[in-house]
Amino acid sequence: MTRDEVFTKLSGYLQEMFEIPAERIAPDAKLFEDLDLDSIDAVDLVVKLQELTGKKIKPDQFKTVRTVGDVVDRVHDLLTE
Amino acid sequence: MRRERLERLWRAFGNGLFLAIIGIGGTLMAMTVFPAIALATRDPMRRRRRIQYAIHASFRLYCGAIHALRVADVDMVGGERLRGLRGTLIVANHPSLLDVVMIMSQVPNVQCVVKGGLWRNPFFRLTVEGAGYIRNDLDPEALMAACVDTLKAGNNLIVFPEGTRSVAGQPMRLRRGFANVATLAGADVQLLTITCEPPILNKGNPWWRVPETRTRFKLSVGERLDIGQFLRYRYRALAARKLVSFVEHYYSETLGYGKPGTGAEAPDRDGLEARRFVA
Repeated sequence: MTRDEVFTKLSGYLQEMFEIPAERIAPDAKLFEDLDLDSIDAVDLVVKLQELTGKKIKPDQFKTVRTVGDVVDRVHDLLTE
Repeated sequence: MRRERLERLWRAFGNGLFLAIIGIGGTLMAMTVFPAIALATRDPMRRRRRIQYAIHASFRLYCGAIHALRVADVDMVGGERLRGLRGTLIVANHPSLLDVVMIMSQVPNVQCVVKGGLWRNPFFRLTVEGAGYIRNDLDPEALMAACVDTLKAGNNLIVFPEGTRSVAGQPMRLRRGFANVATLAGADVQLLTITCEPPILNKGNPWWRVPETRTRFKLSVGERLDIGQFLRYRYRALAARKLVSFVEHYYSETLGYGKPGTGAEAPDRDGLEARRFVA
């Protein structure tokens, strides 16, 4: 999966799970501040991303994640590992 | 004219009196009744029930006395519907200092989130811990987990989703925490609407300055929401968002916010709340 494909998938999840309008989802959008996610949402999202990648995601792998772009990078890394 | 002034003076005095009662009476009970219950009841679950019941009975008496002595009117509408609740998240708007007291006077078995500072005083600690109350200085995940666990265990929990006292005349802005708790615990949500007109004891208004007419506190028991209705959404996060917007909508309808004629009241976390059970 390319970075763009990962972004499209992630954008779809953000819209479906959290009712975030597509136009607000950009690589530099901050998950908590700009997209109004909370820590429980983050857990739900990680579970969803585990389904996508088929890999177990450890909490500390997502500790430093701040933006949509960070998530795309992390997921892309996991898939190319 | 003189009669009216006298009546107003009485209400001012009554205000001070009832503030003192909750301060002094609460402290006395924390040093006598609650330790006695704790000592006499070894089983933590029974101890919890008994302490909660003692708090319920005291608050019932307290509200009844305020009403009977005509310091303020305290009206409960549909309170009997709260008697058999189990594992329910009780959600209310938060216009006054009396809100928790009124709710607890109607629900014999209920917990709430209280100031962590109460744990520093051994007597208060005995009371709040004995009653199974949850401290607010836990880290957010632990606080959330404590709320979810207690609901799952069948206890009722009071939450004020605004996070702070309501500002009159403004639409409620709800935090999502309560909806996360309800969706994670699978707990039904009982909505309560509280009004306090004319406002009393609000910020910049010391206890001796009372409004011209007697304040009327009113607790109305509203809809009980079946959480299953919300959990039908494919995602929990989505269910929580739908719940938040439902409840926001509900309060804007029942309180009629946005209408002219409601004075702004600044939220006030001082006074009673600093030391007592009033979350």
